[in-house]
Amino acid sequence: MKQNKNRITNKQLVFMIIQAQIGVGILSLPHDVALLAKQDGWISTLLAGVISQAIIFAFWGLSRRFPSSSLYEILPKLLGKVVGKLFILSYAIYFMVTGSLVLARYSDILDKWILPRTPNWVTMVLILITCIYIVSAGLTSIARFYVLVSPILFVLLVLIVYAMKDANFLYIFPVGDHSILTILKGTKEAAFSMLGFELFLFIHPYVHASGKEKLIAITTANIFVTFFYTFLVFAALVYFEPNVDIGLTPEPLLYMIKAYSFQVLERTDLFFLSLWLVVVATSIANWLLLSAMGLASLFRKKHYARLLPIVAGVNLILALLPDQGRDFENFNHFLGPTHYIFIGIIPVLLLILSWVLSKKEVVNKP
Amino acid sequence: MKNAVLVQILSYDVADNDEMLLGVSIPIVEESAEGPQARVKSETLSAKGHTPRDCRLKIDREVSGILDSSKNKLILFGERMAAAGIYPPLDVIWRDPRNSLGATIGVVEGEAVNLLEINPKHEPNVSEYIQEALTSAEENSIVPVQTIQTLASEMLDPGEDFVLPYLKINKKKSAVVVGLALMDEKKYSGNLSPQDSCLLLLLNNKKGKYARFTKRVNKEEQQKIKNYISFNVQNMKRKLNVHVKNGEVSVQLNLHLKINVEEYPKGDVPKDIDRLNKVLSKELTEDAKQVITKIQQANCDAFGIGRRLIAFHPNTWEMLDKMDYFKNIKFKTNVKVEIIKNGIVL
Repeated sequence: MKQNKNRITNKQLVFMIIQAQIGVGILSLPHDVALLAKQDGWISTLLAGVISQAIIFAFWGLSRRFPSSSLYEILPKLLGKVVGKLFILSYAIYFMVTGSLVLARYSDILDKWILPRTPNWVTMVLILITCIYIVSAGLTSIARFYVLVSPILFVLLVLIVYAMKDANFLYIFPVGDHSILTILKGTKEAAFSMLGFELFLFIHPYVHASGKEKLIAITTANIFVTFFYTFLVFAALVYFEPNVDIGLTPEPLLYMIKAYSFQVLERTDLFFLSLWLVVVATSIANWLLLSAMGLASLFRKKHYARLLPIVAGVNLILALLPDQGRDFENFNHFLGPTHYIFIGIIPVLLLILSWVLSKKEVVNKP
Repeated sequence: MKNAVLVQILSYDVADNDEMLLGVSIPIVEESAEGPQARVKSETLSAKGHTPRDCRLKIDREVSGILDSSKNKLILFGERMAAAGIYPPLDVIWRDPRNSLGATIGVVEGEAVNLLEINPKHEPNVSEYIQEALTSAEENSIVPVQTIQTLASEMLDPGEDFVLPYLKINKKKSAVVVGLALMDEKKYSGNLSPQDSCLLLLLNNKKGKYARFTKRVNKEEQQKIKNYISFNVQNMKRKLNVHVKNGEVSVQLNLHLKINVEEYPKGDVPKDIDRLNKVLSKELTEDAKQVITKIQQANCDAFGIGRRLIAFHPNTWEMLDKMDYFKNIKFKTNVKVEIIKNGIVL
């Protein structure tokens, strides 16, 4: 039986997925997409949402066949104990590495923009402690916290909308000037920022709702994130000249609001960054949760909380390794294919396998 | 923070030996003996070096604190510096996150650092003084409202050029805004008088609070003053259409001004209204054509016609000469003036 304190509602699931998807990539997304797809970057972002939706359907299919098992429990059931454990270990490592990259990018941006004299490990340790605290409290508390901080996304949106008063909408034309292939290349970049919905595979047994309601919940989250991202990319594309200017600014959204000062607020980018910190904290907390859950099921520990400091320690060490922009690129290059494998290919193969072997959970109907 | 010396204006000039001259204006707060209000004066420092940062390091050694340009409000370019290109010296402003992107840019006739050294009597702080002059020029539609941030995209856009405030030092040691500096891509290439600047901003749909003109509408009056009319533009509508025919670009530019007569020494506007509308329309159409000829000579595509071509006629843009396209565009300009108010007397 699942413990009662670990139950979450369907509405909380929506916010959890949203917070998991929106993370560190939000600041650089318009730059990354526009480098490839230029003024058609917003189409790429929309397409990325469509692709994530397709994967979400696969996830949901898998969750329907095993309504009370998380992916970590499904793996041994489908693949046998040894292979299953091997996969659990690789998932745990994958989440740890992804979490480290997020952590490294977070502290890099903080270092560049606001705290040039603070050693990076200080900012990293601080956010890790916060995240351990959030995650150790259990799923219900995590979900409540994520719901609580979600209004921040609207504040970010309002700031960007304000900056659009100086936009030049001609920059978006000609629409669809680039070939489908170029736009799809942009989609690849945008898809990385969409990651995070895999959280569903691991928490769906704890959600107090029917299968259909769960599907509606994650779809809502994905649609929201897709439009949120598309709008941000669009805003940056009409604000910056899309061929040269946006290529020169790695964090276009911060740049957009840097120039504005209000009566009581100067250097709006600092304000924006401090809100963004919370958004990053929720996604780092996510990776922590997922890898700690993986390790817990690997070592048959009942509760994952004790493993959190270990995972966080590994994250910290990995995140301290890259110390220049080029390292991030290499890191990203290495992670690119693994994203496809762990988020796309493995779950889809598992779904097919469960069909072929016609394995599925026997649901006890009350 | 305690040691910070705030920079209020930066000036860039060309110096000898491939070096540049950076000037900074810093405020000095003086506790006044009489009242509670402190008087703010200013001091100008300058140094030569290879880049703005290099110069700044040298000035830093001179002042008793750390120079802080995060509150900088204005960057002035000397004419020669501006003609060499304003983008490279601004690099540091974009690169360092502490710098203020809300600052604006201006071009100064001759050397910009001289403007920082003027000593106006009613306002001892040079920065405040120049700022106020620029704000009033913005209100009167002589210079557009823009910041380094909004200029960045226009600088990098091949299909659009920009204009900057053009300042000059008066003989009486004060500064005046004398119109607009026209930029060809990132280089200074000419300037416009205040009246022309105002008309250019109207043609570009960038009217400020006021847009005032004085025009000659009569010829035969004995008392010369009776020949003129002064008015303010109340409302305006601008229509700009770009047509492409066989690779030739033509632009139809229509401006409809609804004006408020502020001074007509001859008197009785309503009696003359039809003739005045006609004469003013004709005069301003002529003026507008001249302004466009001037910006075409300076190759300054302030209207962003190139950007419209990229957006709506990308194939035509591909075939055009990216540097000189603006000179070959044919403009059809028409200004229509309509008097809608004439004050509290007829």
